[in-house]
Amino acid sequence: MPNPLRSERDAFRFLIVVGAGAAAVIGLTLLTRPVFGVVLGAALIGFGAGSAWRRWRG
Amino acid sequence: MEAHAAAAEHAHGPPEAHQSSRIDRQTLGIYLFIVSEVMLFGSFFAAYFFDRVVAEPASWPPEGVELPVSVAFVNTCILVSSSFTMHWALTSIGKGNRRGLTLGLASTFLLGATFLFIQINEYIHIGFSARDEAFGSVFYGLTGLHGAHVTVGLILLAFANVRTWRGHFGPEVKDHLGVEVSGIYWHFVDIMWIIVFTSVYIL
Repeated sequence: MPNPLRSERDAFRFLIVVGAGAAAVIGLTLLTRPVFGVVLGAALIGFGAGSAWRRWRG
Repeated sequence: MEAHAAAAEHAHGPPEAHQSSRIDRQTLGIYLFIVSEVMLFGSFFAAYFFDRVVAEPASWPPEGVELPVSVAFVNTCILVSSSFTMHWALTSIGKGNRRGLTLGLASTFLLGATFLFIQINEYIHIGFSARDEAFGSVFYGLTGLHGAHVTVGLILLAFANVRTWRGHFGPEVKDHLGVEVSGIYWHFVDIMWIIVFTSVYIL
């Protein structure tokens, strides 16, 4: 897998992704309860880690 | 002699010893540094969530503690905006636009300084200290750690600003690594704040 973080542009893209994920977690938490936000946050982290793992494995 | 130097510059083949052909050493260095920083933040987050889970009684934050969520949200918007101005600065210098670089870096510095000023103001008015229960300790620990990183980022940005005014940077990546590396660090600081804000103020 090529290194996904090689420059400022890549770091900025990662910031946008994290920001979008956080916005979803914040929105769900404010609309429902914090526990749902925690679950969504954990799911997003798991999805991100899984995607990175799959890309790394090819 | 000049022809030989030009040929060497465009030569293909393995990179110099101990160097990657894909990433320059300064950028690799800042990324490795950030990896260590992620571990540092991870230990603080572990302490925060551990305290939160074992808190007795199970109210979090403790009763009587009111976090200024709206102020922190505005502060978050300010800090995230600073990443956009940082990116604008780097995109500008990549196109040879020195004015964009100067304005972008100055805006980033001012937005970062505003964030830090508001955070210090929040500490003054928040109504509890780091000595007030475990919550106070982990709150000041996490936000203070982040504030320290913002301070370091501002120092890096100050150097980048001064060098920009002195005309040190050019459009080639190798000619503006001072801004590139500062930008990567600044985005890391922003990402960490987004996670801190979501964990501490929202969840």
